[in-house]
Amino acid sequence: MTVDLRGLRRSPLGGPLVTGSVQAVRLHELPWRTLIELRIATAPDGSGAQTGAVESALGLELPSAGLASSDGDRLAVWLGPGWWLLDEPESGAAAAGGMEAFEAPIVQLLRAAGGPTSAVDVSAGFAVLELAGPRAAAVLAHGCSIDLHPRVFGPVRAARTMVAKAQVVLAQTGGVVPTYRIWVRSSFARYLAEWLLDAMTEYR
Amino acid sequence: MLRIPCPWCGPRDETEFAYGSQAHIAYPVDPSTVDDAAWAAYLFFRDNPRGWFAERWMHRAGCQRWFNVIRHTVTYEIAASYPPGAAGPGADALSAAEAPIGHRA
Ligand SMILES: [Zn+2]
Repeated sequence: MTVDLRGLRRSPLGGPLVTGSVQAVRLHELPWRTLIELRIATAPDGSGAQTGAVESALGLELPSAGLASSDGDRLAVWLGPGWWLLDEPESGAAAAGGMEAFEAPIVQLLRAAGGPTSAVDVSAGFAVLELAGPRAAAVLAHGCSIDLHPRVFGPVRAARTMVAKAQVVLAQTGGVVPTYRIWVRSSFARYLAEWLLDAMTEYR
Repeated sequence: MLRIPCPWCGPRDETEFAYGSQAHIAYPVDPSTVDDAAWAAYLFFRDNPRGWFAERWMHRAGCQRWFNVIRHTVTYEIAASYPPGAAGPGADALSAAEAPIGHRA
């Protein structure tokens, strides 16, 4: 018997609760994303990861340093040499089907890779935030030391770095309106959301 | 605050990194044959130059990779950063490299 536990679970920020936003910049949570950390063996100097088979199994390009790639609502973010974060919408089948359905795509990935590879589901470990609007970069810049100017950190740029002293993965996903996706440890999510909301108050 | 150039991620603030002491200290080929004095020298004794110094850093908040940095211990200028296993600038190049004006070692 499969028990559907979806009604009982809570996302780190309680789902769409964090929509406290101003016109120039909006913050909200993207709950229930499926997150997988993928590692493919490299040489000590970080080169030589064999990505071809995994990319065809994924149907998604594994981006090179400092970049993210996307296909519709699916995202792959470069975290380090041979190290990527995959971010996908939750599949209904996996959510309802228990562990086996949940693990199936991961097993498929590992089979495709063949060589020394690891794929770990980290969905429960992270909250996913989205910060969007003309002043989004200005808000982030209050607590982030990397250069967020659009010439340097435009769409498809990504970095694993710190925002407000919290460890985050940051990617610029937006087109017309600058949009940043922020992956943060669940235990830091409430702190970071409150920090961002506070930093946003001056852009009312 | 240092700006340290990670070979993979580019320049980032020092707060993103962990320090790993002197670089290019080779692990003894056969540790069981090393006497106590040599083992202590391997474990505990490091150079402490006034000038260019090859040291290890780890990009803790970024790619989490170890790499090597050539840093001037007086001026904090960073001359190079390179992945482990790669040849850094040799000793000749380092001693010939000019320290920034006003801080010659
Ligand atoms: Zn790095």
